[in-house]
Amino acid sequence: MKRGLGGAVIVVVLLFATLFPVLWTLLSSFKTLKDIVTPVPTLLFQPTWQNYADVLATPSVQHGLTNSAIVVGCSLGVGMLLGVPAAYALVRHAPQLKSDVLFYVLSLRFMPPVAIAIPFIVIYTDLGINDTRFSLILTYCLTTISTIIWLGVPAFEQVPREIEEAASLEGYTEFEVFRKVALPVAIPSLIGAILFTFVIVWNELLIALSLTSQNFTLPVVAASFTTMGMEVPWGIINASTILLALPPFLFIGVIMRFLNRFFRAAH
Amino acid sequence: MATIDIEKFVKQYGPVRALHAVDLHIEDGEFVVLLGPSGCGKSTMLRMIAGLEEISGGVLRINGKPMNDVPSRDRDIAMVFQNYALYPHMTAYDNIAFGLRRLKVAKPEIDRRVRQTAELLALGAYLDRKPRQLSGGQQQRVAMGRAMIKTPQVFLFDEPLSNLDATLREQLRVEVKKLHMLLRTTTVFVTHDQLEAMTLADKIVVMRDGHVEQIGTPREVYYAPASLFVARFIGSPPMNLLPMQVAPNGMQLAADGLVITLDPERAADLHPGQLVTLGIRPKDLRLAHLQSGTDRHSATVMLTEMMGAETLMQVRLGNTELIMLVDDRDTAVTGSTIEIAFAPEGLRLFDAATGKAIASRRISRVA
Repeated sequence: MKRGLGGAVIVVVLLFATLFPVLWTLLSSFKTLKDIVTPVPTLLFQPTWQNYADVLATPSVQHGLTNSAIVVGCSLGVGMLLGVPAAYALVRHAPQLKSDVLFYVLSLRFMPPVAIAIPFIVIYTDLGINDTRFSLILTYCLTTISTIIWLGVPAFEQVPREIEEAASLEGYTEFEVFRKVALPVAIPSLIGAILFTFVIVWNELLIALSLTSQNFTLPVVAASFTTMGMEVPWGIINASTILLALPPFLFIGVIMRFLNRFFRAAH
Repeated sequence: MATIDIEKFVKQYGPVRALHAVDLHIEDGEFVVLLGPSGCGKSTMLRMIAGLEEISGGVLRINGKPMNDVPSRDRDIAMVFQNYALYPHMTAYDNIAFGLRRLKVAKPEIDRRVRQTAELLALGAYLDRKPRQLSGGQQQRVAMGRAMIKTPQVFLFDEPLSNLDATLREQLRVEVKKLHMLLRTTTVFVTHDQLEAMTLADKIVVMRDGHVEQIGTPREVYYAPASLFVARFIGSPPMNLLPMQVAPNGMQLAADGLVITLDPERAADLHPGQLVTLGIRPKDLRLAHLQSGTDRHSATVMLTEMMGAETLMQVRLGNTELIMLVDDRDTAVTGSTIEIAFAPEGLRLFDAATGKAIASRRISRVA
């Protein structure tokens, strides 16, 4: 198919509009404050690591990074441990429940996060676990388990039933069939599902903002930079934004591959 | 090695009954083909033997032991699937070795047996490949290797050749036959292809709508079909079937000016006025000068199809179109009139009302 010149122009304009802020953030994160606030933007400047050093030296950032790693790691771990077998069980053992369960699971994601957060604050306060990593992990598990189930079901549906039957005729138990046949065949799609879930919880701001004041996560810290004092620390904001975006960025290629597979399978 | 006994097999899917109390006995080492159109219940029956479908009613015994509640992994059965069902994440080698690994067979022994099996199936060069790098025929060979290597008690084949092109199908059919002659493992093979059934089977089970229509050797089902359904299903070109009525003298069949005289033994089973269907294989319609001692009928040649050594002729006899298969040297020109005769030993009679063969038992002895 030949694209006209007009189409090419639109693509370039859109790409520029989308990527330029990201690029500018990246550049600014290596600039001194003087270079950032200068009225005439500079493209040639003396790069500095100072912003990154400052960000990483900030206690709240260290604290937030630790919290984010623990909270996201644990909730993702629980999500995989429960979500993957649940998706398999739905596909193979309760197909009649599949559409209802999937809708329920998806409907958890329809709700505005704040609507979830307020009742949770009440419950967690009553239980005496409000503003702990544990309560945040518990809340995030809702997201991780439901998202992994939702994306795991099509992953297991792609596994031909016959190969599982063949394995069971070769003497393997149901669990062994799951572990040695279904899981390895579904794993490329499942990895995509897990990474996608990771990005969702890693970037989550609203629930974390509502549920924590001491045990905040990295997005909360990054958001708080914008409201610090009179002089806006642009360099630090830019550096922390890049740091925050880095882990999801590293996975983006893998996720793109996953989405390709997902949509190609749907057609 | 195993015998299989199936007693009153019933399969119920909600209100739908897919199998109606089917009985079947399979001898040790026998090659049995379940044959029928799609939806006749043949695959369901196979999957019930494998333990992949629940048995709604009846008993399955292998070597005399009831198997209904034994899970498929403990039945010592190997199955080859229509779509091969190879493990896509494993190489051909690992696909074949997978079952032995479960049995904790020693590594060198696994290697020896995999290579031996691969040799037998001409797969040696492909063992390192993943299934998607193999052609359909090679994939099905790997699937057969995977089934063979465990030396199971029973082999099940679920339409294993129907996804292959004609040449490959023929090749693999021969290989299946050779393997069975070599291993002598009790085998149940499902197909809708009557030629496959005829060439492979020791015993054919013709099925229709969840019922068994006939169980017999390929010769029996070909020469002495138990019903009109079997007569239509088996044989290519198909058997000629003519609706007729028994004449008042009880010795002749008549329809549309066509009169066929029966031998007295055959006529004894009929009563005057009875409506019957006369069946005759295209090969048993002869040119009159080659067949002595029977009535001759004038027929017009409508169409001839040269098929090699033989020629298929479509002829019109009165208002009936018949197909005959003659030696190519005896073929007649389209439009010409020829004299034909019905070979008496080829006549098959079916009750028009029930569709069942009349006196098929006596004829099957002839066959």
